[in-house]
Amino acid sequence: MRQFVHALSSSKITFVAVFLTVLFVVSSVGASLLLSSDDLNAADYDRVLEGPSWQGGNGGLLGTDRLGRSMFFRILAGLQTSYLVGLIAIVIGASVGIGIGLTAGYLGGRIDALLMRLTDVQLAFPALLMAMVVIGSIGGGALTVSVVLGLNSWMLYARVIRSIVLSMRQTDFIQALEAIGARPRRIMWSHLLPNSLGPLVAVGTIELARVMLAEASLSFVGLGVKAPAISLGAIMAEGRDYVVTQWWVTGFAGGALALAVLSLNITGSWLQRYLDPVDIALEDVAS
Amino acid sequence: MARYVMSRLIQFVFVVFAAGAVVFVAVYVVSDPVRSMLPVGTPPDVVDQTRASLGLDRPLLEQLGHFMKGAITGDFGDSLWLGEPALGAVLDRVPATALLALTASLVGGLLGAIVGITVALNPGSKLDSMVQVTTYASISIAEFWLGLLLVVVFAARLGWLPTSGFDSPQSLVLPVVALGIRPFAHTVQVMRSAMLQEATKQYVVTARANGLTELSISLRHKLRNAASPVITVFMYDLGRVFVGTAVVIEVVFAWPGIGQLAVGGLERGDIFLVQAIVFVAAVITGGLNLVADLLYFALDPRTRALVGEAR
Repeated sequence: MRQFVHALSSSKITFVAVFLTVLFVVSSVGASLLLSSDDLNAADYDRVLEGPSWQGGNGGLLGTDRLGRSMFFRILAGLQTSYLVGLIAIVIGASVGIGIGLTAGYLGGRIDALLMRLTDVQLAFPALLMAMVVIGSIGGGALTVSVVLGLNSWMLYARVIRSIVLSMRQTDFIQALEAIGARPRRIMWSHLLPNSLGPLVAVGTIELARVMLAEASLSFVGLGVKAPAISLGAIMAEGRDYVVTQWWVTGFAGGALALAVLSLNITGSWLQRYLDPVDIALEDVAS
Repeated sequence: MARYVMSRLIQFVFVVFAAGAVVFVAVYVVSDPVRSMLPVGTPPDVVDQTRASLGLDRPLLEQLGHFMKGAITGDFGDSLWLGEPALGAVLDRVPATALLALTASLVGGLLGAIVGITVALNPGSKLDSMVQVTTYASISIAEFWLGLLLVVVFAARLGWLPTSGFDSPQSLVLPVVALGIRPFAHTVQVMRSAMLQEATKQYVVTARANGLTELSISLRHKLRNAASPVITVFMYDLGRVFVGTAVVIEVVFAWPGIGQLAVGGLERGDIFLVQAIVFVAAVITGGLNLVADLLYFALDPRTRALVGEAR
């Protein structure tokens, strides 16, 4: 743990990114615990489209929207939706991907070829469009969006864990396990998986960032999270009608999402370097 | 060689087939297409009549057969919204999307390649870290949000460029910038790391010992070896832009392509149009993937050797 903190504080940008991620997660979850959906959606017609207070407006820190609702709290609630959808999606994606990757890497042969071909096929899918069509037919909502995006994001985990398993299969400890007669299932789940967790956590962080952006795109075109649930994509779509004059609605919602995603991306790439010493060595040699 | 091409072709067919299967399940099995087509409160007998007239009251297996036959012959039925053959309506819109996606990927990719090569000459420099921050920011921004900001600044405030539509070459500028940042950032990252990895190779030392300049080593030797991953990421991004991010950007800029058509069709419950779009999209991404694999094969002799061994 101490080593972790030390490694973290050695890079200023990473430190800020991790700090922002924690801040965003805690405050968005806190806001949605303290405020009910009714509080967040209640209109206040005396404060319609007021600018941010530091710009001389009367709308509080980040202004108000068309119904006089505080953008500050709506953005926090939208972020909470983004994180939640992203989290469910990566749990689904990681579970499927780990299962497929472990099986392919450990069993090898025909099963490996088949599963990796399946991965290639899924990677060649027109993913966002398919997600739109599926959600358009069966109806939107946070859970549907999470499941659809999750089922579409297992490929990276599968590839990463497969390559780790392939390189570990010949190591002494796996050979020793095989020699004492451990079952394949036990070797895969109790030995190979725990040893691959580092890179998987890094992949998960970067996938979380990607899924959050996908959710915003879907909600922006009206095929994602629907009211009364609050989504940053939907907020940006709503603010689009008056973005030229009252820029703060769309501007801040997209800015908050960009900051949250940027923090995750930086955190993820740092985790990748921190948790995968081989990669660090390569980079040191290179630079 | 023939065997490699054949296996890639089979994969291409499989991508199209699988995409069709997913859409069939979503549209016919899980949901009721007639309900989403008709307004709420339509009398039940009218609903049944519509269902019968569209052949949606037939057994599921028969519908599947009809769907498959349609996909193979290219007949997806008439679009309910436009009243013309669905496939024709989609194909009419493909060139506009292709123009947008190709321009954005090419501009982004070329600029990214130049920047990537430049920063790889001086890793760890101030320029390098500035570029790194820029690429991280570029992959973290929602394209449609950037598009909206560009409209506010360059179209509405400054009045330099049109806000939307596709009337003049200037209309292309803002959507291309919004779509191009991701291919740009990816190319920079991949080019930089590929060039740095090549820099450790023995042949670079030899070239340097022979008195070649760093620039010429980079452009004439390292670049050739670093090209494969860059082309892979370029083709991947082209596919992602073509049938992914461009869809949303078309909505922002009222661009007359397949993305806008898809969103309009979905809003109206136009299942025939939507099926045709998914089919065309799957052919495009599957096709781009095929081209990428073959290019990879043609450009890098090492892949050829690998395939030869595998056989």
